[in-house]
Amino acid sequence: MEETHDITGLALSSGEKTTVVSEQAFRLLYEATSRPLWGYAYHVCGRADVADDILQETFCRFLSRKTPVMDELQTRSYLFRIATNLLNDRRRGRLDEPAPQASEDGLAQGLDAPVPNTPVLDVEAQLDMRSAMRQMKARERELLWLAYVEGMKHTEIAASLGLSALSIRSLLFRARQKAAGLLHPRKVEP
Amino acid sequence: MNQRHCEREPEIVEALHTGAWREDLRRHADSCRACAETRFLAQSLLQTAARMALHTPPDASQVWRKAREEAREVTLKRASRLFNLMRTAGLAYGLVLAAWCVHGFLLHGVKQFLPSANGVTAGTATIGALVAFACIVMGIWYTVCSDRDTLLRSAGR
Repeated sequence: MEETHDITGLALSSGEKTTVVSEQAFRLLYEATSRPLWGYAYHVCGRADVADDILQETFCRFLSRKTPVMDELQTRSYLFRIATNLLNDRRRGRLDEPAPQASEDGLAQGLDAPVPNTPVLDVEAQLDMRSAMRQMKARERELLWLAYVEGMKHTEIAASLGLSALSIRSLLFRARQKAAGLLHPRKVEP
Repeated sequence: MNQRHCEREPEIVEALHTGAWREDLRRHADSCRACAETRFLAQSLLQTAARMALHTPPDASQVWRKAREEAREVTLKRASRLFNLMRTAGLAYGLVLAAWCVHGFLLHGVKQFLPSANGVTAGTATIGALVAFACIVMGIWYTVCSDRDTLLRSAGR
């Protein structure tokens, strides 16, 4: 077995085609990616308990699968891809109980619940954002989060969502326009 | 300038992440509709993300333990799949043998069937041995190839 070091400094023991993550490497990976993944899951599903489950299941699947050797960006995209698939499965009601009072695209009312451990600041802005996101499709929420919060490039978003890289630009444009219109139409005028 | 897209949108997002706003970029964001939209939306989402970042995710040790348990279950499932396969193969073999015996008894009667079976013992035994050998080789191949990585992982922990 050879050992490779990616740019995050994670030591990954790799065989010919697959990667085996040691506990120490896993801890580093988890520290670096668990919060972004949790935020993404929470933003898409709207429930903290479900986001916790999605996060754990994402890493369980990552560790139990024979994953190819990947660099930092590919690993990140791969983790987001697993989380996206789990969220999709949950939305289709395959793995979890149906989303309570789900809207037309399955978004739970849980977005109305306060973000855990959140100081009571910008309540109005938070409510505006929740209200806008509730009216958007899950795919649109995913796109916006990956593009603007994670700062992913179109190719990374495509890898994370399992979409064609060519379609990301127009999908993102539509999602952005819809969200901006739902939030504060006046503010986006130049 | 295209109202739908602007080539400088990624710069806007990057500036929001780093906080490093160049004057020309700021002026551009003020005059470009696509970039103004991007800035406004990205700012709102980043504020939401900042609040979410205060949440403490489950402990890494807990997730690691759960992953190990799931990996063990997967290994067990794979191992039992081999046994199930062998059980099914054994059942099929038994049924074929029973059918062959019944057919022989009905066609030739007991007295004629047994000597005729003895008469072709060598050929039957050879074919049976070959089938058994093939089953054993397939079983070993399946175990070695399919579970090699899982076994290596388990051994490494």
